[in-house]
Amino acid sequence: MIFKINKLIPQFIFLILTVFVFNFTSFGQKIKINNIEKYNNLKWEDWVLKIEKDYKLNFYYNPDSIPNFTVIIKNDSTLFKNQLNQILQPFKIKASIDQKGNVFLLKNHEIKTNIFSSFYKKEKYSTDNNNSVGKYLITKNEIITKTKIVGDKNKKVTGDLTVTGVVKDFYKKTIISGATIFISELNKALYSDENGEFSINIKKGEYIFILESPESRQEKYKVTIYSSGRLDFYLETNLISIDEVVISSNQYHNVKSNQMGFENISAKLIEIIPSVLGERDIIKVSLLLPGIQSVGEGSAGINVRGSPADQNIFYLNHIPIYNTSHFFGFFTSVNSDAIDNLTIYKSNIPAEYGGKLSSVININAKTGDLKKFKASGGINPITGRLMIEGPLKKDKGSFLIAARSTYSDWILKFIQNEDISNSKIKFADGIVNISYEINQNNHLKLTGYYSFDKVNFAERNKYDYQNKGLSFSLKHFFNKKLKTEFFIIHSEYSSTDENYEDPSYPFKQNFKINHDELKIKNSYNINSDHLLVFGFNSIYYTLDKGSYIPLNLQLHLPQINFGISKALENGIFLNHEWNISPSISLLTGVRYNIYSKLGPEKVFKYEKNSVINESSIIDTVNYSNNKIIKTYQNPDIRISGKYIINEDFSVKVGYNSIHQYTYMLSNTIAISPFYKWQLSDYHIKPMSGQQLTVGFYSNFLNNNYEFSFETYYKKIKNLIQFKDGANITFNKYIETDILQGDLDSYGFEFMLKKKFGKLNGWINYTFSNAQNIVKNPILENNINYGLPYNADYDKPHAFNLVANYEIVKRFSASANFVYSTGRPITYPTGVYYYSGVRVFNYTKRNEYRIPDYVRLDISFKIEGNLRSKKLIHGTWIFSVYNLLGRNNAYAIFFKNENGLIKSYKLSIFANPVVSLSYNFNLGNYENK
Amino acid sequence: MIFNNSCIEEFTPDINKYDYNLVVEGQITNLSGPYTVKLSQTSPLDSVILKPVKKAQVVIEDDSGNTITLTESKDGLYSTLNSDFKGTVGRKYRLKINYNNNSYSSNFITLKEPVEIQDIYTEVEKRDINVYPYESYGYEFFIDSEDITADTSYLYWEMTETYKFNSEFPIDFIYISDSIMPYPNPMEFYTCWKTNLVPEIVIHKHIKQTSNNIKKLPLYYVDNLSRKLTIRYSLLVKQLNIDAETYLFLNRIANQDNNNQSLYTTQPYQIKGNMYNINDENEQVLGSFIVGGASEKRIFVDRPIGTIFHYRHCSPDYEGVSHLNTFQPPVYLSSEDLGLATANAICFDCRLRGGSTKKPDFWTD
Repeated sequence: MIFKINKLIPQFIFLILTVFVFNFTSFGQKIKINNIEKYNNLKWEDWVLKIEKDYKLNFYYNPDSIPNFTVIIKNDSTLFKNQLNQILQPFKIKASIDQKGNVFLLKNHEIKTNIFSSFYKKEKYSTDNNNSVGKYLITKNEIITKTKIVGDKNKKVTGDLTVTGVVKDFYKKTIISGATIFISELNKALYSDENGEFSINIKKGEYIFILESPESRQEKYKVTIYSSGRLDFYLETNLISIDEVVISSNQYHNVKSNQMGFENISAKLIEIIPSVLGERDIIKVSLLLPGIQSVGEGSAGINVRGSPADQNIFYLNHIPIYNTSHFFGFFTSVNSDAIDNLTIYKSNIPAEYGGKLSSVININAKTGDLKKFKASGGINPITGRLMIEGPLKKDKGSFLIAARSTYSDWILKFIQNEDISNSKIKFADGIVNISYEINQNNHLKLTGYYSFDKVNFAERNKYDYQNKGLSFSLKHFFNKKLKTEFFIIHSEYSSTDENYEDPSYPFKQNFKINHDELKIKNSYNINSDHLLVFGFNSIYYTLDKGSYIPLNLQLHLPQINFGISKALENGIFLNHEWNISPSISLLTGVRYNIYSKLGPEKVFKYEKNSVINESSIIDTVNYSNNKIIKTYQNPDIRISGKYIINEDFSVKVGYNSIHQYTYMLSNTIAISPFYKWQLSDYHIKPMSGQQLTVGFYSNFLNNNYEFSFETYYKKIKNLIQFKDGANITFNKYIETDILQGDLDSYGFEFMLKKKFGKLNGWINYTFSNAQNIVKNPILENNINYGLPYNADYDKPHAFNLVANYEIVKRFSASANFVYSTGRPITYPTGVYYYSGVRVFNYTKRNEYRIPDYVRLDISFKIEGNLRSKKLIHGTWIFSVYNLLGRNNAYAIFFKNENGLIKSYKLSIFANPVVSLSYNFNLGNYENK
Repeated sequence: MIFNNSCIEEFTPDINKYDYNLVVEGQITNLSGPYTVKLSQTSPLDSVILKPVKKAQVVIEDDSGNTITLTESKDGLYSTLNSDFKGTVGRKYRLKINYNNNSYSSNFITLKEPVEIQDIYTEVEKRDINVYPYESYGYEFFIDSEDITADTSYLYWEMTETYKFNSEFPIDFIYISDSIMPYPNPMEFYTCWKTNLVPEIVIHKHIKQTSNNIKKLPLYYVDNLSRKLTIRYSLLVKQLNIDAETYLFLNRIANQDNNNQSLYTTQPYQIKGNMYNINDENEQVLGSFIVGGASEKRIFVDRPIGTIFHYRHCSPDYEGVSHLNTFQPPVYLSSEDLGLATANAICFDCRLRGGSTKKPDFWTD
């Protein structure tokens, strides 16, 4: 007999919540289903649906733990529970059924459901003033039913209530930043910030909160809000499925968030994507996203949407990192072990950030475990890594220390190329991250960072550089609506290069930049529709522009001291987020920058409308220490709007304007390990940028697929370009070598992601165009005769494919395929001899292109066994970079050989690069 | 295994067009002439040949309106005929060219006070050369100059080398019309002197602040990988005190491909000199007219003692004597230890290596 009742059965997705909404008749443990064979031959998932529907049962289980097998049960009139146990026995699943008809299917554990029933009764309506009541049931390794109540039921409230809370990892108790909190009824998504916190203005009522983070599966909660209060979420991470890589941010992000031109990469993803020599690298992974390129292997820096590398800023927990590369840019100077996630703003940069035109890249370090001490590490052919974390005070404070170092450069000895086998490399980096919750209203955070490189490149160049940084932050909640974050940030980058390229004229050069910053950021939730973020930041730059020291003392060559350079960059900002209706929102931001170049400095004034050089100097002005030489004041505007057409489709539009007061002094096509940063000054105007973006976003097939299309147009003025033949190494008055022009860039980006399942990954295609123009009435102040030319890194077509496949538990494979048009190159258009020397005549810049770039990489990952009691859990990763062994061109160059001009192609990775790395952590898989 | 495979291979880029630009190479100093101006055209990469520009009108003009016309002595080579004409220190000079209905000119450039050369000397030096299994051995030439008066001086050294060398074999016999005949003057083409412009640009920016002289600045290295040092070698160093713009031009030529195989190259660019088209400033005229105060010094060196030379020697071909009719005439023979031998004519006639049998006037043995 089959019950055919229950008109009240809601949609399946809300089944999980129905437990608390409807008062079910009690079935209890003794439930029996007659004619069960009628349900036979259905797939497990359909079977569950049908049983649930027909018998008013609710199944709770982890879909990953039970495959979609075909169910066959003999009608032997035994208890339903026994029948279930019998069919699920191959999966080591045990069933428990409580009195409300909830069926819990858990691995190896049976729940004493009678305990739960009393638990429900007792807790269901309990409230405790302003404190959350987490009503989740915990077994050893699963979280089940989720409902939460905020505030005091008996409290009389009207209007908007403020609910604040934090999203944490259920097991590690570490915060989860970048989690989406989607409130279905309001059609509104918010995100946990870098401290895992969120805040929302909301009216009294019942809501469904859907939480998701890059690290976890989606979880749904029924939240009943009675009055303002605290609401914390503990998300289950990692345990759901080993090796499942949850890609990108999350599903609501795409369609429903206000953000566009935004990417989020989780640490898990970095682990599996193949890399050179097995060295996990978050920035290299970002190159697989649309709109992000680099000049080539071996170049530091990335190019975002047609911008040069110096228009990006990398923050590690608010510390700006001025040189992000290890060993010629092959690796990134931040150890990926210690990274929780990385977010990239390619457009619609919030007003709290200023000073970089193209992108803001936030690298968020992991927070230490609040419960217990842990250690992990790894080794590959280049580096060894170690990370230790643990509580400082249980549940209040924690620390994390991560260090990485090259342990040998023996591998270089095997290399045929003499330049390389004669090279020596050494690099290391470390991160210390301390967080402490003084009380509920005051949180402290301290992050320290250090990295260095010592590279001896074939005795021709000796590079030696380091980054140091420290950030301190204090967050204070004044009340439910207002919170303030206070930051003190210090960062420094120093570099030296001993250059023996010309044996007759060896020299040494050095450079140092100090960045000291104070920042205050306030967030004020006016009501559920209005959020204000406002504050200011102030940066004091002190540069030692270094010196040029000739090393051949016989020649009596003069030493050049470039002196020091100082500036103060202040910005005030206001961001307003306005949810006009559930489907329309508007973000407006303004930022006002006041930048002053400060003394001491000797400033030359040059004749107007002439080529500026030594002979056009008309006056010299000496400015004393900290005296204002020149002030630039510029407003920045950030506007974006979102319109949700339907659940699965939205349109967003954004406009950004930004000013940039620093630039990189590097005129090589690929960025060399030695470069200097410079400040806008009396002569060099700040660069300014504008970007207009339109995007369409769609999710489909049960949100498993995510599609986006974004198109942009970017215009940069006062772009820094160097004159033909500029010699920035010796030039004390750099303005004589700089020309400022325009950059025009446009493009569109398609991205399709499959987010879950055994096979997941993405495909993207980008079309882009980036052109510079430096045009001036004075002939000498033109580049390329005043005509537009392709930017050095312009690659019109780019295609990336990333695929991860879980073959079986513990064993997964990953591959990525990269295609892009070759970068532009300038070829000679003639040759002649002058004084017996062969000279190439170059005409139009970047008129040609090097051959297209194609690369396929693969990797395999094998997890150690999943026994719970063991000392060490290990993971092996085998990877092959450039599996096709394609000789991708890095450069084309010409040589004169016995009177004949010959051309050659230089490749960096001409054969597959194979590596094996081992990562470990103390304890079992859970401790990962 | 990072760059293990870092690799360089031949590659032919698809360059679809070439430009043909006028190239000017001229000079005037305070030393005696004749002064020459070379006019040519750029050529495509795949067929590098000197394409002289003929029938141009070439004139050097000074700032008081005096002009001297240069006449074409060889294809594309224009020289002052009047050897009395000399540049004067302090005067300004410019070069004017009329060619193909276009007028080209340089700006006026002041002829600077020459800086005297104090000494040119050599040191024996060994160097590692990648392509050879042995190290090279030779002379490094150095220069000392003193009393540099200007605050900043731009010096350019133009070097001309002359060396005496011998052929492998004397011409004992000559094979003409199927018979071997004794050659009247076996040593006729045995010894030659060859003069070359050193194809290297050596320049130096001197700042008086640190010192008013130059000590031991390396100029040029000559080694045992050619015949140059086999007997006696002479280097004529012309030190020119030039203007900043010319220095920059030469510096760019000297450094044009310093780093083109490196990972970090700068954007290549057109090297522009001081010549322009009067009527069309967009026409790209290459090369430069150099005006400099000059001083000269010559130095002789003999074969370094105990040196083994590593150039391609000629071997005597004994078997070839039996089928001399198959050789391209002239066919010379020499009587060697093992009998009569022949070889390529270049092994007998030093003129075929670009030498001249006439001993230069300045040569001292």
